[in-house]
Amino acid sequence: MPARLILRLIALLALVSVSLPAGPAQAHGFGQRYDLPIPLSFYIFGAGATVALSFIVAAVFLRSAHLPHAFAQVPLLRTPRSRRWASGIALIVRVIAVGYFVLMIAAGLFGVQTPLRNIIVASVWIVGWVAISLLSALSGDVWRVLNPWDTLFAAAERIYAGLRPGRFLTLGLRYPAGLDVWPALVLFVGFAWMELVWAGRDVPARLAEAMLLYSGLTWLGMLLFGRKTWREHAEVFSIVFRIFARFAPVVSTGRRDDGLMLRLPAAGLLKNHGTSSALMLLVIALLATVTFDGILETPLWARVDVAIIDAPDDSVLWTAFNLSEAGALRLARTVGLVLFIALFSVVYLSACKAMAAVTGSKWGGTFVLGRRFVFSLLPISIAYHIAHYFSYLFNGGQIIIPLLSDPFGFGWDLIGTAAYRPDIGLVEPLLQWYVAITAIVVGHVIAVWVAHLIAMTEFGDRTIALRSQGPLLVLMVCYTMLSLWILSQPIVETNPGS
Amino acid sequence: MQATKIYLRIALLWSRVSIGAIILLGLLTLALSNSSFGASLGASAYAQSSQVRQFAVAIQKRKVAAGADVIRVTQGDSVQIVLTVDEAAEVHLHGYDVSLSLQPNVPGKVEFNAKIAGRFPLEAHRYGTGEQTSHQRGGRPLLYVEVHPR
Repeated sequence: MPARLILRLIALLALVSVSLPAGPAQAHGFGQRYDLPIPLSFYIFGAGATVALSFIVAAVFLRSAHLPHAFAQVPLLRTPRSRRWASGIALIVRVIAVGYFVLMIAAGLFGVQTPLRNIIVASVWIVGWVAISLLSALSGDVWRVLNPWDTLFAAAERIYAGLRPGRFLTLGLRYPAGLDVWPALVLFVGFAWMELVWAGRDVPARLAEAMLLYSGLTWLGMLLFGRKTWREHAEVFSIVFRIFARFAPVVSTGRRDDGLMLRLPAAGLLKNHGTSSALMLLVIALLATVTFDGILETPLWARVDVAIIDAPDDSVLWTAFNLSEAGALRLARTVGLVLFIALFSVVYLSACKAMAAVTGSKWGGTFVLGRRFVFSLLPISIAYHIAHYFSYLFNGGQIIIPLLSDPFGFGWDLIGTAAYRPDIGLVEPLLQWYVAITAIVVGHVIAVWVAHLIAMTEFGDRTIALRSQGPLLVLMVCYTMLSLWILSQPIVETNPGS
Repeated sequence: MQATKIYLRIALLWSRVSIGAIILLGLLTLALSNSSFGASLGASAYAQSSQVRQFAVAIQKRKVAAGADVIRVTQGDSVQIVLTVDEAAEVHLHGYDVSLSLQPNVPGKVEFNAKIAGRFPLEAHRYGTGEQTSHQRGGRPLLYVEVHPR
C-alpha cells in the first residue's frame, strides 16, 4: 500500500522535525516593505475618479448592458497538436513544482534557520501566496497544474493502479453534502492566521512542519473521499486560487478535447449560480484578509500594538491572562482578524439586505442576493492586492534569485546566482503609486460593471436592476476608499515575533 | 467564422479597457503636474542637486526623546543622523543596511546617500552590552527615514 507507506513516512518526518530545535527568532523581520505612502494628490485623484466613474458606468453601461459576448469563450488551443504540446508542458511544470515542493520542505527542516537565507520562507509567502494569487487572477488557474499535493497523489494513484489492476487507491467514501466547502473556509482562516499572526511564519522548520501536516491532511482526505472531491471541497489553495482565477482571461474547461479557453477578464465572475453560503463566506473571508493585511501595517493598528507594549506591569494582560508581550500582540491580531472577517460579512449582508428591500421579495432574500453578487467585489480586492504587493513582489521577490543557488543557506552556489543582492530600488515609489492608483480605479470600475451585468441578468428589468445597484454601489465605493486610505497610510511595523 | 467574430469582439473590449487605463494614467499625470505636489517636486529636483542633510536624534528609554521620529529627505541627499543613546545599543537602518554600535552618551553617526526612495525603519536590534544584553521589548522601530522621490 504505497499510500499507507507515504502517510507513515510523513508521520515519521513530522516526528523528527518536531524534535528538531528551532533557531532563535531573527530580528530581521521577513517581508519588510519599504513603500512610501501614496501622496495626497494621488489619493484625491483616485477617490474622485472612483466616484465619478461609478456614475458613468451606471449611466453608460446600463443602456447597453446586455452583452452576449460577455459570456463568450473561444478555444485557445485549436489543433490536437497544440493541445498535446500544452499537456506536455503542463506535465513538465507539474514535475518541477513537485521538485520545488520537496526542496522547500527539505530546506525548511534541514537548512539554516535564518528566514532570509532559507528558500522556504520566501517560497511560501512571496511565491506561494502573493505571486500565485496574482498570477491566478491575471492569467488563469495555474494552481491546477502547480498543486504538488494533487500531482503526488495522482502519481500514487497511477502506481497503485499499476500494481493492483482494477482496484482504486481511494476508499471512495461519500463526501457529506452538508459539509460543502466549510472545511476550506476553516482552513483558510487558519492560513490567514498563519500569514498575519503566527510566530512561526518566518521560522523555516515551523513552516516545513506545517506543510507536512497539511500534506498529511490533504492526502488523508483524498484517500478517503477521492482526489477530485477533496480538491473541490477542502484543499484550501485549490479553492482560493480558483476564486482569484474567476477573474482571469484564460479558463480551463477541464475536458481533454478543448483544453484552454479565452474569455473576457472578469467574465468568470458573472457565472455564479450554485454559489453556496459557505463559498460566499469564503470569498468574504478572502476579501477581509487581504484588507486586514494592509490594516496591520497602518499607524491605526500600531496604536493597538503600542498600547499593549506600553501597558503597565500590573495590567490584566500579564496578571490574569499570563501572556508574554509577543503573545498579547498576537492575541490582539487574532481577535482583530476574526472581528474583521465578521465585520466584512455583516456589512456585505447588510448591503444585500438593503438590495432585497429595494427590489422586493420576488427576487429572493438577503442570502440569495448575497450569494449571487459576492464575486462582484473580487476585482476591488484583486486591485488592492496588486496595489499593496506590486513593489514588494519585484523588490522583495528578488530574494528568490540568490536562494535558488543556496536554498539551504549552507553557502552553496548551484546556479551561480548566490552572490546576487536584491535591488530594492527596482520598483521606485513613483511607479508603484501609478500602478496602485490605476489598479484601484480600474478594479473598481470592473467591479461596478460586473455587478451591473449580474443585476441585468438576474432581474431582467432595467428599473429594478438600476434600483438594486444603489446599496451595492455605496458598499463598493466605501470598500475602494478603504483600500485607498490604507495605501495613503505610512507603513508602521511592529514585529511580535521577536 | 463565429469564433473569429468573438475574437474580434474580445479584442475590441480589451482595447477599450486599455484605452480607458491609458486615459486614466494621462489624467493622473495631468492632475499631478498641476498640483502643488508636482510643482514642488519639479522645483526641488533642479534647485538642490545633492544636499547634505544632518539630523540629531536623542534616544532615551528606547524612544526618541529629542528630534524627529520621521526623518524626511529627498532622493539624492547625503544624510547624516547623529544618534545619542542613554544605553548601549546596536542600531540598524533597514533597506540601506547601515549598522552602528553605540555607547551611552557618545554620539554616533548613521551616514548614507539617499539613492533609493522609500520609507526605511531605523531599529535598535540589541540593547545593553555583553552578558547583560537585555531582551528587547517589542519590535518597534525607533524612527523612520522617508526618502521622497525627486
